[in-house]
Order: sequence, then structure tokens, then C-alpha cells
Amino acid sequence: MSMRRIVFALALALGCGPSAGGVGPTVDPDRGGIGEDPPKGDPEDRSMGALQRKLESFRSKKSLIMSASTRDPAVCEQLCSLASDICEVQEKLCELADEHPGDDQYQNLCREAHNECREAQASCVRCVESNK
Amino acid sequence: MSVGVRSSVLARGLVALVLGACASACEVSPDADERAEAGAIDTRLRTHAISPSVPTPQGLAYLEAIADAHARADAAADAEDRAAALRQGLAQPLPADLPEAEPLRLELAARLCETLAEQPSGVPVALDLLAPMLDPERSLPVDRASARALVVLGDLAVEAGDDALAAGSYMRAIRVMSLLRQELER
Repeated sequence: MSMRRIVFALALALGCGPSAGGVGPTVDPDRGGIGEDPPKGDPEDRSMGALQRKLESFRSKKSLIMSASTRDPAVCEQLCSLASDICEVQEKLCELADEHPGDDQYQNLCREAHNECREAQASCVRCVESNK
Repeated sequence: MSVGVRSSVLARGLVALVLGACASACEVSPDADERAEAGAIDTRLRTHAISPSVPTPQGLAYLEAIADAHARADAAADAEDRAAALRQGLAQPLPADLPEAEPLRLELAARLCETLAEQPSGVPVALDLLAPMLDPERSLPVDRASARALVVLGDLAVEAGDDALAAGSYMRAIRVMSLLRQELER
């Protein structure tokens, strides 16, 4: 076996072949031997602490996505049914307020009921959107 | 329909027994200074969460009796018979340690009052029955049944020409439903 073949086999065995993807030791021609890959990006990215933080960040992002997408559709049904009922009662209340145009009590209640109706409808829409 | 209502009431009761624990933190403390002024619309709302309870034979028997009352009301030929069946259900003694019975009772009362209102001069009778059950001084369970009963009270008040009672009842109903919405969104 020629010297050249021996060097090539040694290099492969050490994982610096073309498929190694630059993650293992490599031959540093400037240093004339085998060395570490030059660091890419922030060296701290490779520390255990940074990796742990990244993992936690991915986990929390995943749980946010999962909680939004796996929300029980029955909850949306209940929220939308409540919205419908709240708005129906709001209409009754505001009809009464229309009969008492000069009475602030009625007008304020109508306004409050209207806001509750809008909030309930928004909850329904949010829930349905998050389930899409 | 009787089987449907019966199973619906039973299921509702059982679900309430099991899930009662989820209805925590619904309590709204009444403002100590908040008092209805004379002539003002009373929108005070005291509420409490339905505490979970351990199913007992007495509790299950009560649920069965309420389901029967609804079933007999469904099968009734006219409003008078329907009211009689519902009255019998309402007359059932509340079992001890069954907080889940409270919304069932309110539901029954609301249905009875709707039935009474269909009869000639039934509105004042219905108001006399329902208004004390929903008095602003009383704490109501945070449940759809409370909201429904308050809406029925509001409708009765409109019929009776008591706009202040109607407006107060409608607003309280909306607030109960809003509490339920907030609970669901947590």
C-alpha cells in the first residue's frame, strides 16, 4: 500500500472525508496536520447552557403553537354560543334603553352590554381562528 | 323527547359533579358600598362557583326526579299540566351536599315561569316566584342556568311594565355569561 493511500485511509477513519460535513476533525493545511473545525458564529452557541436555553425556547414555542392548535373545539362552541346569547340579551336591553332616551342609567347599561357583546364575539372569532 | 331531556339533565348533573372543580375562581365579591338606590336599576351581582361534590344516592335520586319532572312537562297536553309537572319538580327537597342541584333548580324555575307566563294573568305569579330566587342580595351560581333565569325574569318584567327590573336582570344575565366566557378563556 502506497504512503498516499495510508494517509487517505487515516483521514477517512478520523472522519474528515467529504461526507463529514465539517463537524469532525479536519486537516489544517496551514498547520500541516489534523485540527478542530474553525468555530462558526458565536462560540457561546455551542456551550451547554446556550444549547439548554435554545432547547427551552423551542419547547416553549412548540407548546404555544400546540396549545393554540389543539384547543378543544367544544370550548369554541361554548364561547360562540355565549357570544350569541350575550348579544341577544344586549339587543333586548338596548331596546329598553331606546324607550328611555333621556335616562343615563339605561344608556350606560346599553353601552356596557354592547361592549360585552363585542368582546364575546371577539373571543369566539379568536378561538375559531386558533383552531384553523 | 322525555328520554332526551331526562338523559340531558342526568348528564348535566353528572358532568357538574365531575367538572365542578373546574369552576373555581368564578367568585365575584360584591362591592360592600354598592347598594341599590331607590329608583335605580339594580345590577348588583353576587356569584359563587359550584363546588364539586361526591355523588350520593340522594343526589342521584334528586337528579332523577328533576329529569322526570322535565319529561312529564314535555309530555303534558297543555300549559297547566306542564306547570303542574314543573311545580312538582321544584317541590323536591334539595339534598344536602349537592351544590350542583342549584342550577338545576333555577332551570326548572325558569321553565315553570315561562309556562306560567303563557297563562292568563300568569306573569305576576311568575314574577312572584322567580324574583326572590334571583334577588340581587342572593348569590347565584356561575352557570348558564342563572343567566337563563335572569333573562326570563327580564322578559317577565317587560311584560309587567317594570323596565328597571327588566334592565337590571338583563344586565346581570350578561355579566354572568361574561364570567362564564372569562372562565372558558383561562
